Amino acid sequence: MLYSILASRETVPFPVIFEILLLEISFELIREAGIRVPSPIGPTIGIVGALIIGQSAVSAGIVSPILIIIVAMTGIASFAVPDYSFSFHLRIYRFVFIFLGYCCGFLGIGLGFLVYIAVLCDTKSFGIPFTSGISPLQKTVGHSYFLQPIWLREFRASYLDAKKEEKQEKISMRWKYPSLKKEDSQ
Amino acid sequence: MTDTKITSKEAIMLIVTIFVSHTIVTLPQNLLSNTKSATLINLVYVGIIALLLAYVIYRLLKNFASLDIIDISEYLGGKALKNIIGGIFITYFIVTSSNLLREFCEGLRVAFFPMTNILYILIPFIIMLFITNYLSFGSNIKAISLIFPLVLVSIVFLFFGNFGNFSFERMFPVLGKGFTDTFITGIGNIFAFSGISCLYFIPPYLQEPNKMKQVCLSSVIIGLLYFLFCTATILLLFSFFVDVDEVLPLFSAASYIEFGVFFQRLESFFMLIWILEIGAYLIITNRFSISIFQKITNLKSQKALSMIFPLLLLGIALLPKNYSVIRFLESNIYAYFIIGIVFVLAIIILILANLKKQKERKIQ
Repeated sequence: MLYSILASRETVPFPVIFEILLLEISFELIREAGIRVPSPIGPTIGIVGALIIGQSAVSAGIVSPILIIIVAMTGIASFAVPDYSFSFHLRIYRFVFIFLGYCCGFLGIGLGFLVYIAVLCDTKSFGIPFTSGISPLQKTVGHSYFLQPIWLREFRASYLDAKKEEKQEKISMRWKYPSLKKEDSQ
Repeated sequence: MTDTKITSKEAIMLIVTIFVSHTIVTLPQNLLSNTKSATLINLVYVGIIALLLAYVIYRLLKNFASLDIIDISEYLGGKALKNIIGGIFITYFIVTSSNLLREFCEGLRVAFFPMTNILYILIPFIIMLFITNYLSFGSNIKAISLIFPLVLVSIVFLFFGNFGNFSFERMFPVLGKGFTDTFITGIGNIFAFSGISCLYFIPPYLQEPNKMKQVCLSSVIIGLLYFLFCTATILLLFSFFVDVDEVLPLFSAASYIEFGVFFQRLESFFMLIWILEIGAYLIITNRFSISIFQKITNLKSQKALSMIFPLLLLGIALLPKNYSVIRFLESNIYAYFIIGIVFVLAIIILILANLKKQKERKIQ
């Protein structure tokens, strides 16, 4: 696989950093154009632009096919962030990590990641640390890496310092248990 | 103020991070060169002694609630002793961290950056320290507590991934070079538990000071388990000639892990995790150095020192001419340095301070 990747890059005259920046900036341009163009044709422009630019760039020998895959996967992954506004900072930090990777390789990416996590832990929203729930670990389960199903979310997260910690009773789906209904009526 | 306080779990992770960082470079080799095939037994023996010492330290610190060793030395001998002990511990943290940084960067140069000058490998770590020094202590520790589980899992994975390649006959002879070398002179291997030095500085930062005992004992037990995994991996995988001369032996051990044809050569993935770990270690030692300096000079803010200490670290890391000088320092001098400061001087200070306090109570 390594040989096939190297072979695909043999025809490209530019260094990797130039290819990556070219594709990333093109991707951002397509994304911005897709937002500003009227809604019926917006998504079409995004798809057509991306396909044509990608295919043309590879045919012209400006970028290698593997880089198209990497940049496309990165772009799609940024859309997979649950809250859209969370992905805004990633659009800027992506370039910081590209620069770090170019300068220092995975050493730069590793240390950049450490600084990124430290800055994230230092950030607060309304006085509550951004990483509450995962660091420090909170007593209430189901509010950090894994989210419980709605019917199991009995308590509010402890970092909210709520007056009433209990959100719902222990058996929330009482209709499933007829014996409980009978006890209530008695 | 709350940003400087840490929970007991974070304190345990902080201390074990110090233990862990040294095992990534040459600590297992130093242990193996001292006690050969008896290293595992020796580690258990030394671990029990370290556990007892940690308990003793807890009992000695208990009488001085939320005071660290610098404050205790001021109580004992006034500002003069405070400045001396502060200077000694600053030197200790800077010398050990610069030695570790240089050793790790030499290993990185051998493995990944053979044509790069060592200065350009050191600089990213220093820039990282510049930035993290501007953040609060609590947030740095929170970041470390996020990274720490990855490191533990990596070592356990390294052990079990190499299980099929182990030669268990390398554990024999069980007592290695003999009973004397394993249990009498082998007690010198206690330098592996140098992370105990952080116990002297943790009390002011704890949110719940009553959990200090849990912090002291849990950190040593987790550290001991970690040492056993690391040392067993290297002891059972490599012959002794490779053990003592290898650069970053855990990195070499990681290259043997393979699952079928597709999952091979995972050492780069481990190296990424270990870079995070070394960064975490540097953050901790740097922060402790800065806070000690702030205490002994009565500075209002630590921000002024944010760039000075990393540059000092860089300067000292560049002092050794080559890797052999570092190995010599590590294998011949480092152990005595740690034992002298962490296990002798600090405990003497605590004992004398406790005696003074008892005397004052009797007078009252």
